[in-house]
Amino acid sequence: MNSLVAPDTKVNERICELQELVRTSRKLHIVGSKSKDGFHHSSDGATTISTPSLSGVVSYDPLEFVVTLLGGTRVLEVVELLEKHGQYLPFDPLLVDRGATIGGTVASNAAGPGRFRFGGIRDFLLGIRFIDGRGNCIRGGGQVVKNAAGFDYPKLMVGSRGTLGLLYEMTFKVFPKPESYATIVATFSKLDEAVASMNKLASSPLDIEAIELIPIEMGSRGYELAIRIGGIASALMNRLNRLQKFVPVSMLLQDHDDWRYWRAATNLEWARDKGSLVKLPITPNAIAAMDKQCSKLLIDRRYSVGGNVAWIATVWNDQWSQQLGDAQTFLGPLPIEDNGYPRELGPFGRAIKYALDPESKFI
Amino acid sequence: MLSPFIAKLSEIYPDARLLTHDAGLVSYESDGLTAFREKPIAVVLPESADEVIRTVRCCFDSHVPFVARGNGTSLSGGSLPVKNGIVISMNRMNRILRLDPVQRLAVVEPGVINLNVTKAAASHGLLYAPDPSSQSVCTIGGNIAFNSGGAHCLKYGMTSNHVLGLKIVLPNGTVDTLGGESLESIHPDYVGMFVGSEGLFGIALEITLRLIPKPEVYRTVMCAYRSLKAAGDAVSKIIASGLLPGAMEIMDNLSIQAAEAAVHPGYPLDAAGLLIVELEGEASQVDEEFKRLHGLIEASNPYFFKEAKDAFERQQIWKGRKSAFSAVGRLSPDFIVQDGVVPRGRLGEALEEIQRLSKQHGIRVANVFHAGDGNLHPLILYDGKQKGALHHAELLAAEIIELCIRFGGSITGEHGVGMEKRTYLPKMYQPSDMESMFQVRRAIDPTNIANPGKMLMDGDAPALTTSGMHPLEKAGVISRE
Amino acid sequence: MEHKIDLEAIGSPQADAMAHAISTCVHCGFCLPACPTYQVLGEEMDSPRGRIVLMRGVLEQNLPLEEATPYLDRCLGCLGCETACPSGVAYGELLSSFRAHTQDKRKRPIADQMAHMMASQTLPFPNRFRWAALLGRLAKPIAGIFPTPIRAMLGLVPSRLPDSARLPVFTPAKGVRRGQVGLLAGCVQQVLAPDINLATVRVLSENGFDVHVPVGQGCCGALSMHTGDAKMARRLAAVNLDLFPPNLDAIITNAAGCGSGVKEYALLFRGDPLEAKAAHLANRVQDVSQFLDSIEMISLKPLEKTLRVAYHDACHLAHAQGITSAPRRLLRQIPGLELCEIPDGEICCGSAGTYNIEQPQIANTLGTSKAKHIASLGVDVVAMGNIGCMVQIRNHLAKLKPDKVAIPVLHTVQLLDRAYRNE
Repeated sequence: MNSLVAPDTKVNERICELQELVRTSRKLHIVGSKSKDGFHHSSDGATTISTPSLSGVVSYDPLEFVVTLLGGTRVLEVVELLEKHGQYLPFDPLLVDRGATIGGTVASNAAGPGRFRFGGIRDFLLGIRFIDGRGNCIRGGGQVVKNAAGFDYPKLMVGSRGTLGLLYEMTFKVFPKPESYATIVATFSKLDEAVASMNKLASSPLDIEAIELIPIEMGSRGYELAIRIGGIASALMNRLNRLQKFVPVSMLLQDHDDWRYWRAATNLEWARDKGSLVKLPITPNAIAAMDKQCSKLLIDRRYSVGGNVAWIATVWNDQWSQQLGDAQTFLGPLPIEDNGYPRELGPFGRAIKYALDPESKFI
Repeated sequence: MLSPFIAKLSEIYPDARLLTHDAGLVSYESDGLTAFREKPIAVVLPESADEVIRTVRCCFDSHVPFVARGNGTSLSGGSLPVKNGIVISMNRMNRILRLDPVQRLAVVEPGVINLNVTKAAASHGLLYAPDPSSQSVCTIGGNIAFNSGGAHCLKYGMTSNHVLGLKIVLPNGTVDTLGGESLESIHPDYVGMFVGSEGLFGIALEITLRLIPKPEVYRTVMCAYRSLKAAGDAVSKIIASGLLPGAMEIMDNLSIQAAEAAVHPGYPLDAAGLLIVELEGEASQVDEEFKRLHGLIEASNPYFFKEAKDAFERQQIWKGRKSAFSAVGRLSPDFIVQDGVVPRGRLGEALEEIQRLSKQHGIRVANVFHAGDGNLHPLILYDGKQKGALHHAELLAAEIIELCIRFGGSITGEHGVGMEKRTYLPKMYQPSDMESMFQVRRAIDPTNIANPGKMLMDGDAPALTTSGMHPLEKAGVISRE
Repeated sequence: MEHKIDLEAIGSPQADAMAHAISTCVHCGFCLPACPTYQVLGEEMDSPRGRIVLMRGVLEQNLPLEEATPYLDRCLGCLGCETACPSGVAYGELLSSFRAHTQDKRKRPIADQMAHMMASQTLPFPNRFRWAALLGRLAKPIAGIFPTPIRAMLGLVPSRLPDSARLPVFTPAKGVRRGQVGLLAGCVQQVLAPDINLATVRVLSENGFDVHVPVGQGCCGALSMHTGDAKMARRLAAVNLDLFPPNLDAIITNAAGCGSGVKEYALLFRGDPLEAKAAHLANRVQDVSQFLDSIEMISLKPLEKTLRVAYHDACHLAHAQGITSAPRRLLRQIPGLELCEIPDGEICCGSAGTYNIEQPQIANTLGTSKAKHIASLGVDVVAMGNIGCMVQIRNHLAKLKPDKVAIPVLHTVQLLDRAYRNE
């Protein structure tokens, strides 16, 4: 029996209800706004908990550069709020315009291109509150930018896909937003040249916000590197000139063009209507082999975060899912019948799952 | 006559690497926090991951607790030997196994010294960012266990933010691999959970670190103020302006005196508060940032201002700052280093409160801190030879810790809970939070042998029995190989 | 660090100094990476911090001396730890005092005792050492039959000694006279490398200084002092106290070990009737590089082609006397000389007085590693300011590539001398 619980009473009462629900349910499946439908496997017999009703800004002190949010808060709201104070979440949360919630963003580890410069969600999440498998409310981490007390539950929850507990409150460290941005797009005929340039830039002392490697028409017309820099406006021209000495520039994007380009990238617009979108953690050295394979099978793909993430957009088939191994479907249908948790876990992961959710309620 | 347990260890180690004589044991009885001493029953000096794994299994089979130790620099007593336990001294496992300048990562053994990673990376124009003050001594393994910070956390985060992958041995001798080489992952962030677990989850055997490009330029300034509060206010203004310095540090007069005597970095000896700010990054950006910083500092009205004119002067400024804890040894035979965090906006308030407490108790407190992070390091000075002095110092320390909790901060920013602050952890967290940590700990270390007594008070966590099948074994959560 | 030492029970004139040094240590471990034996052996007892804990244990009477002795004997006394120590622990004083305090109470294996005796009874006496070295040369082919420490000693005996050279008692200044100095001629050095003293005299004279080398000089006592034989050290040192004329600008030494030893005379003679005299001599002593750096040196002729030189910091110059930049500044004054820094330069070469005789294995490891670091630089010459280091480094450079001509090892002042003479 699937039931949708979306309580609308006051926050504390709602949390108590959710605790009760966890205690009394056998299987639970947590969803946010479902902007990443790839996470939502069929959950027969599981109670579905929807978090968007648990939303809002708990506290925000711009002078402290720290914001605390309820899990169901839409990321777009947060982005707009921070922007008013010249601040931002530097990890470029994904699918903002598709309604992504902050809880879902953490649980799915949905960081975008900007993760390159200062780090991902794990690096900005300071504290959390969650309901564990026993129905207890647990706080981990803190509200200050530096904290080494106790186990680091906040990091554990990043990428946990709702399998370790119901995240309902999160505290983030935020950064001052660069006052201006510019983007250079460089084109290469060969992949290895593009990868070499990407590595060279990433190892250079140039302060780069994001580097994305994008095959043009599935690689048939070459590859482009999109390189974004940001900072004080009066220094930007100088830095752009310098950047141009590294790569053959085919396009310069500024102001609104720059904004639009990256907004589209973080919304994963390129992957729309291409079947499923799969995320693979990789390193730059893996790109060559992977791209060859994709190119042969006419599969669209992008390499994000300076070659640390491969996004593959494809219609699933069995052959693929076996080859990919460590991959996560973000959007679209799942490759095979996916029962979610537990997948293959090592002893450490097993022990943690057991400790936090001994009856394996969260799937 | 060897005990059966020592006899088992001697199957793993040659005599020279299994210490059981007095001179060997007393040498390991303290780490960087000498207020605690405990003599281990043996010290082993493994030279390979395999030896560590066999040692842990040996401990698991015999229910003997162990603590892994690097170079013993913990300021919270984290590597203090456990009663009736052994010390696994990791400092000989100090190889950098691989350094990949293109993908910007290093695979290292846990005993490698922090600064040696930085040195190895430097020849490729790269940097290992976390820089604890003890970076010339402390090992990466210890940094992992305590999620060490440093002056440059402000921009790039603590140790945890720079660890990509880990090979670990769990307290029951099982080996696991967490994370990998990519910056991203699709699993729960187990690496993040392991880092900072203070040795309670086992021992890291192999560590993959992230390296970043070395900043093109540094611009480092020192400014001196007539009051500590004025220095704190300057920090608040700089943060509010939206500048993101690589580091922002404050030292008070006592620590200035001590550091100047030790290193001669040219600190103004009459300053009540010395502020060090460092901008780093691409030259043209930093030049613009510097103009703004200069304006802000001018407005804060320091009576002394100096920019490091070359790499040597910069190095001296930092050397002074990083020597401050130890240099305080010149002022007092003994001291307790505190590590609390307060919200940055309440820094000035916290400092005044600490000064008040210091006066009230009649105990000198020196202050050195990572102002940009709100991470305070009050050094409470006492003379251990005077009766009751340590106890009195601890009372003051307790008040400072409680102040940090009351202000919404943390009891530790980077030194960890260890022995020293374990009684305060339950004051920072609710009973249900604490219970959850015990549950995790029990699931990972059911026999309670991995650095027991640190971070979590032992009394609350009775060791589970190991006779017969453990319930977790039945559940398939743990296994003995 | 807290201790429970009963000062009265210790009953040593240096008890206070020892207890103070121990309480100054905060156990932070900053000394570990600076300690050569910790680098080689990787165990806490072989680090300065560990040794302080051991000495504390012995002085508190909680630890039998025999337990601590092997680790304390392994200390090179290089004082790299003092340079690294932010708390200002006077480790050198602690160790010398502790060694002196325990000298009579300790038991050593016979072979060690013999080696110690052979070294301490020959090295300080040029004539005895000359004979011993000649005898040693004869014994070299049968070195295998001796116990390790003695074998090590034989290994260090040069296969050929330079002709003995007599130093002129007085050498007048060349050109405009700027002052007058005395020279502490040393003992071992005068046998192994008399050219260093000759070069020193020439360079000083070239720079307008009269040089006095009083007859009747003996060993300064530093070797004995550093191994804990305070009585012997005082006996040797006393000989030199009255020899030098009172009106000298400085008394020059060119062996770092001697320089640092003489500068410690005040502690050595604490409570002795000669204390004031000893302290006076200590104040007048300057290392040759320190002295030359303090005067304006007569300009040097450019070299014909670039000479790449590595400068090695002798521990007793760098750590014990804090002299690191003066010799570098002097060498840079030779036009055409390119100065290179040795990786891990602050770590001892393993010579350390009589250490390479008493702890041959560790000394070997350190020597080899130093030689490798030097060889990695591709330099033409390696310069330094201490005869002990010169012997050790020359030996290990030769061992590194036995089939090739090893990199020449010179004293800083020898390089200056050659530059003046355009050689």
